[in-house]
Amino acid sequence: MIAISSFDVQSGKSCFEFRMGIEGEAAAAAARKRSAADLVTLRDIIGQMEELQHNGQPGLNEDFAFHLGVARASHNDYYVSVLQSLKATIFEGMLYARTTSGLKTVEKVAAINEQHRLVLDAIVEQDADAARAAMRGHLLRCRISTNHWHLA
Amino acid sequence: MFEQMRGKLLAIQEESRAAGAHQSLSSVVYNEMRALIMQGKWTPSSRLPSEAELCKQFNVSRPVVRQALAALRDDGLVLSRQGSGSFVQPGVVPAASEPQVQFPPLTSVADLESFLNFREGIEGEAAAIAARRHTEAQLQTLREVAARLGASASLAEGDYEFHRAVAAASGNPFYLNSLESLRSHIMFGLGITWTFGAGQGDFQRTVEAHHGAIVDAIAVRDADAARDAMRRHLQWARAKLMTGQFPGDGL
Repeated sequence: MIAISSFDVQSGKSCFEFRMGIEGEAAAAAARKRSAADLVTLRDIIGQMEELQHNGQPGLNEDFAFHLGVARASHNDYYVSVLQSLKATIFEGMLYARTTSGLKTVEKVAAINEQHRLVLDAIVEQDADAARAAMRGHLLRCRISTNHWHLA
Repeated sequence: MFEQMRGKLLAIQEESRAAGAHQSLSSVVYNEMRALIMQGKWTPSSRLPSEAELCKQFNVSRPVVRQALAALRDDGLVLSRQGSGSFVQPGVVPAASEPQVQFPPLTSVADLESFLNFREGIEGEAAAIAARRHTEAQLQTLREVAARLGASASLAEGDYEFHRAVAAASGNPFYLNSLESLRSHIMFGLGITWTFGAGQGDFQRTVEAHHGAIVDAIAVRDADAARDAMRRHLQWARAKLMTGQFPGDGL
């Protein structure tokens, strides 16, 4: 396994840690503030990702759209602006995770979809604590998957 | 930038199909080394690790390392001195570091409400991580900044410096970056709060007590307590700002 040190692995890990905090809070806020239209949007995105999963595609844009959708559902522009600012960094992380992990794309996307569903369920139920936990859990798994990126 | 990255990875995949594994490995190693130079991890004029060390570091064979180094020499990023090894060119300028987090301006009281909610979330998390990961030096700085509240140019300034120091103690540059990007937002809120609070005798003492509780929780590495103390402080400050009161003032 080649040792990957660029993409600044440390920065990637810090970004995931930061996102766990911020997006956990955004998910909790979304559980409290979401509108019916927000739920439709989030369901649609998950539906699109499941389609792509069957075709073995990574669905990076849709993955980011889900996270942004949760931030929008908080109806707090500050959460939205964080994700938009970090868009390039987030995409770099997603791209590396999908190209360097041992799992097949289909398995990875299936896992991500399942985790996204848990977040959505909690938001539907208006359970702020569950939404926070589900989002943090999802991002923690993403962060753990970067552990196979050997630090130089 | 994402497009460039994707372009690079696609190019590597193309190469491996066309030219065999050997060549694509050296391309990947070349990109790794180039990134280390551009991020300033291998500093200008510094000596690169030896070829044997590089083989170990990237877990590849010597021919792969040599090919990557040759490409870096062609780029003008590295030069080789017979018998001394390879060096980063003196004139290399590292690229910019993490992206700045950008925030929308405050244009209404509704924005202020959203912003104060957001502060609770982000600063609570920063405090939790600071509890887990701070160094002794960062804790010392935090104590000093907390003690200097009354001695700053303005109380609002001193208050902001404390919150910034907590973000710094998290060791996560994204938290620090965010607090610095939010400086004008925070100062706006603090300006009002401290103006309102000026007439109320124990306002400053309460703020200092709250800050003390946050530092104590961070010092004993209790992440949950640190998060709670920070959130309670910010909830109290916000209630003071919006309504002038908070049930059961203090902690």
